[in-house]
Amino acid sequence: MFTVNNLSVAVNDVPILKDVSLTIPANETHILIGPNGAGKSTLSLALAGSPAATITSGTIVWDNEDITKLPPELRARLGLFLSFQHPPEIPGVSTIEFLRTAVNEVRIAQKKTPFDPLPFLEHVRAVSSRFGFSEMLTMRGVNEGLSGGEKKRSELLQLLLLEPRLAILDEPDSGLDAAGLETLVNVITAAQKNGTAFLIITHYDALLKRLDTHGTYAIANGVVVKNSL
Amino acid sequence: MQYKNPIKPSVVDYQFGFSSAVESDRVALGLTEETIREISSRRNEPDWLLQWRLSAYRNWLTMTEPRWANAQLPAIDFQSMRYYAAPKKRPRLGSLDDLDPSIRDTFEKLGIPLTEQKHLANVAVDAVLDSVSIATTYQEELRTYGVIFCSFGEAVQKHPDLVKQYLGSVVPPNDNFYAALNAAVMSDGTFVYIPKGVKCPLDLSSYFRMNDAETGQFERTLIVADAQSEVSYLEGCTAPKRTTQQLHAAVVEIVANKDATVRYATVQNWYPGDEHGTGGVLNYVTKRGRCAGTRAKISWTQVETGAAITWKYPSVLLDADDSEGAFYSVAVTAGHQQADTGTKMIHRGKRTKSTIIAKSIAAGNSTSTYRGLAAIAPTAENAQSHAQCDSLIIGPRAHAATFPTLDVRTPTARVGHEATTTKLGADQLFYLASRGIRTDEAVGLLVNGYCREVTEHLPLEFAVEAKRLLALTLVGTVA
Amino acid sequence: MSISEQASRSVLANDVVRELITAPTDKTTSITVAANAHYYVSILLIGSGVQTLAITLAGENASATIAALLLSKNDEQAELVVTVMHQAPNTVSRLTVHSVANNNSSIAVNGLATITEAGSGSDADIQFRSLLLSPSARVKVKPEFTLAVDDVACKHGAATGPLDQAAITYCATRGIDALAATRLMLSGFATLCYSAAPADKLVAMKRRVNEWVTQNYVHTT
Repeated sequence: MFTVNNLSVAVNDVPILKDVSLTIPANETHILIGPNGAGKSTLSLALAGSPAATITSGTIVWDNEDITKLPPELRARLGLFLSFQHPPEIPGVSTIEFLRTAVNEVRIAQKKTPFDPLPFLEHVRAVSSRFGFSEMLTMRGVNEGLSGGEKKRSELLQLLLLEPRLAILDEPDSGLDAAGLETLVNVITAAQKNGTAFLIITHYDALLKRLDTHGTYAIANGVVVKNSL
Repeated sequence: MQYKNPIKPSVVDYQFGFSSAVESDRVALGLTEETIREISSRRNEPDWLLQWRLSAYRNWLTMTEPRWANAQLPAIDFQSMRYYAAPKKRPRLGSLDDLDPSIRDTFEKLGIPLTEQKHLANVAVDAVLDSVSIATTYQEELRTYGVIFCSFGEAVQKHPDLVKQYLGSVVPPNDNFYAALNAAVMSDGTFVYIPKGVKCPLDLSSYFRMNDAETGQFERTLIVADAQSEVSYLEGCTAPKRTTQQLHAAVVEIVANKDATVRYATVQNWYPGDEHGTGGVLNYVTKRGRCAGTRAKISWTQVETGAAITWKYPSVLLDADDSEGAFYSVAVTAGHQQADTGTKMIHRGKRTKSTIIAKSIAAGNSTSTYRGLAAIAPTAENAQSHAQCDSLIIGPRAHAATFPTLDVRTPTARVGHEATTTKLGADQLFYLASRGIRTDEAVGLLVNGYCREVTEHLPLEFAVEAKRLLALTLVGTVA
Repeated sequence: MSISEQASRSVLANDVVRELITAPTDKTTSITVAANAHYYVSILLIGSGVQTLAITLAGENASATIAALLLSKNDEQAELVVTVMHQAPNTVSRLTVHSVANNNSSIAVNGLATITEAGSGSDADIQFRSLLLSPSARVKVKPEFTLAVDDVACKHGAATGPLDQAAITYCATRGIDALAATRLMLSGFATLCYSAAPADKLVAMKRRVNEWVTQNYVHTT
């Protein structure tokens, strides 16, 4: 479903990733491990289509379609989701309205009926309470005034609402306590059952032990190697 | 503004208040075309400069004295002032042993040694008494680097082309009332030229001392830093205690070419007037720098502790792309002093940057005002400007005001301004007292902590002096 | 008579008043706020006009909250002048103004908080944020204060700059294209000024703002 072919990426004219190749078949969960500074975040930004990452060669293919040059909003509407390590704050923009806009863009692209405001609010509440997210997360502006942990939970809530076909999680487990880890595992497991494939970037064993995974990649100095398990 | 009678004097004894008996050559009181011709002739100036002065004077006659400062401005009788006084026994230039002893002693008392044996280490000094430059140290050594550091008068004689090229290019004679007056009657000041690629090996400094009664000081300083050069310049000033106010209307122009850096610092300690607000220097100054070449940098650092009224806005014209301007200021007023000071950063080039940090401290019956402008022209794409202005008020009768203007005409520019006010923390003062520290010392400590972001931009020796002055100005302001 | 028709009025002791000004008037609108009273005013200026508001906090613990939004386009020229005089102890003022200027329009905002000798313990805060949507638009703001007392908390801030590019990219990764993201953020920029408005006027206000945003947003990158 998702293939990266010999991708090289530069940031601010500095080459970071060299010749990266990986494949994530539908419904599978793959892990990417590597030390700090290896290029993990650059990879996730490049796959999501961020303008900060310049692709100097190689391709990204989604269901046989070359999406290397596709802008980020169109990749999102295809069903690609990236969870940010440091999501930006957008004060004044209501989180609920932001979420509804995002969810509806995907639904319209997939020929599903968009949500009206009230049913959407109820839907958000239902999902939040099922996974133990506080209502506080959606009351203010986008990510406004949220602590690091709250921002991570906010990203997971978006994952659940957007129901992507591929979710790239950039170090979702760093700094989590036991309860946080529990929530993360529950969310990933539920999404896996719902048909979401994952590329999870992580350092720690704790998460890997709790999940069903299908393969591991290792990244060092901008080069990616498949690990035999 | 009404000032209530002070309970006790809140101005410390101004230690530079002595005057020296120096024989002076003076022109008659008052200002006419004759006065200007007289000044020009006594200085042996070429005709082109006399004409420049006269044109400025004629312009000045058509201008009206400005009165918009946030201060009570005294009336100035321009005809009852003297516009030129030069010490009689003039030493041969470059021979410091011929110095009139009373002049040498004056500067020694001020802590500015001029004789060869006692030079300030690493600092070349141009000493100016009333209207003339008395001595300039280290000139020969600097010349081996191609650096010209001399009095303005000497520059007119020896480097007329350079002077002609740059004089008035940043502050034209018709710029404002006091700049026009200065252009007409300008006395000595300093001229600096740093050639291409040279990092000036010494800090340069000028020391201005007003001595003659009734005489105003109108120095003109011109600093030109050619491409890729670098220079740090410090200006210090004091004046004797007099019962009448004296006018100091100086003009400083700085030109920085491609990749050049100029750092200009002032520690101003003109006589502030007595406890009743009588006397003191009126410090009405025009200072401006022009970043004429790409990546040029100009910074102004000022610690203003003296003068009865300080009215000045050292500014930077960020004409060239990627140029940078900075303004770091502490303006302290106590007693009956008034300050209306700040800066103008005019962005015209792309990606230009300006940084402003201004601290106003007002004690006694004084008023300290910050007035600033960050103007971004439509050509200044991606410009950035950030200003931080803080006010500290000490005591129930002091006043502070902040008047910034942000004028933005390009959508990609990022301009920000923040201002806060504070008072001296009673619990901090108590804590220091409980550790045996006297109130005056405690105030000095807290105020210097407050001003650190500014004073750290001063060269070390002058930072020490500035901090001492700051503490001194505020002695007796907290009961 | 509505606030915008009356030139001056008082907010009586212990009272709370919320008002909306949408039509600029040439006369200065003066408000005097008595002890323990609170005055909230929301100002929405769309198009050309000058609005001058002079507020005097005359009694102890009086407070005023002014939230204004100025939107201009084409050759419009808008000006807002707000002065707040703190003449009694422990008075509080909050002035927030957000401006968006498009095409060749220009917006001028002047805010002055004055704390007199009688205003000990007072607290004033002025925040101006401006957005230029086109290279020929202009914004000129002056957040000012004058203080005569040492025992006060006074702050002001002003910022002009383009919309946060990181936020626009973030929205893109959530399927929201740049145009929609910018409209969202512009509406968000306006939201911060609704806080002072009377509840019954809020819906109409939001509609007018959203109409303006949808009609006027011009992609600047």
